[in-house]
Amino acid sequence: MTETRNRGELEAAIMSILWDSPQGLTAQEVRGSFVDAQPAITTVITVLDRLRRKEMVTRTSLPGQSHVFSTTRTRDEDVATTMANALESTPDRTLALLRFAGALSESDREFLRRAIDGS
Amino acid sequence: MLACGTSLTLIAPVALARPRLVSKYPMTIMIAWVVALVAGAGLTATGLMLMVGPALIHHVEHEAGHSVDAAITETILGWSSVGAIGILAFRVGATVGDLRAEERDSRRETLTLVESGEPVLLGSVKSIRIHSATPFIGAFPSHGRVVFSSGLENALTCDQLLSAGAHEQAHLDRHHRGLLTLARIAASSAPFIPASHHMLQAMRVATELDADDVASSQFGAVVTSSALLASYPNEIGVAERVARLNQRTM
Repeated sequence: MTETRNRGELEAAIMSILWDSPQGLTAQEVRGSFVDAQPAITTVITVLDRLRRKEMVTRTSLPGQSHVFSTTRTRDEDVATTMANALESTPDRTLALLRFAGALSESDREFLRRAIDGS
Repeated sequence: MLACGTSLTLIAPVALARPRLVSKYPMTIMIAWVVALVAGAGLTATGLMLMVGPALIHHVEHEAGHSVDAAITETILGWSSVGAIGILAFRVGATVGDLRAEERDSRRETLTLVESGEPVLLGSVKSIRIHSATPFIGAFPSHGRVVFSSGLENALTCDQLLSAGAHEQAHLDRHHRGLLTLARIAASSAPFIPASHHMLQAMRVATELDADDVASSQFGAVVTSSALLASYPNEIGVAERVARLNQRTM
């Protein structure tokens, strides 16, 4: 049975491949870097285009060569950005991430105060 | 049956979402509310469906010996019930759809974060350590993993870090995301009922307090409190959670 990846997993896998090759890769080289279950080249190009629209990837045209794709930020920078977004998560997003600090609002704090004061 | 179901669904949040009760028995309050919600919603749905039956009978044929006024009343109630069931189903469906989209987006956003780290054992907690100076620890229910940063590891003592890990694992083990999801669905399905929003708030606070209690039962209130203060001293609610843990040890 063919293993399928969802959209997010494929984006993450392609970003990981590009981070391992700071000099940049063509779409064909990106596809070739998949160890197992290579996606179709059209799928790779679609995902690279989507990542480019998200400004996570840049495309450079070299004479006589296909487009070369490279990441706009390093893996460490990406982790820092994702983590900063997670740390700024609002109470509405507590379903996605349950933080040690809790994502409590001012009214939640008031609720806690009433519990401690015994009112 | 309809009256019982509706009363149970409406009264349970009013009775349970009390700060003192939530603080003392967070997990019991969450379970009690879920039981009341399931029972109340079940009774309400059954009551509504039972009212549809007579309306359908009157729609097909007129029963001999049945007064016209009763038939009209039953028909109005029956079709009103169909409307109520439709509105409730729509609201629940729309909320579930929104939550699923949110879940997909979040999973996609956090995938690189989870995949960039290395799997490690935090005591008995299977977790992922990411290399970042920013102190961070959180449970990602969509990945079923606890993620923490090397910055937090440097900021905390071993016991404090294990306590923070136990807090996060409690979120995963005790299905806090599921409970919060249910509260979100209930609040979105009945936006005109303030009690449902109070219950959502109570559930949000109760999940944190319950996880605090689990960590505190394993590593002690002093260690858990100091871990909270060392990692997030300025976060909203941290001082209150520490004060509560201290109160419980007295």
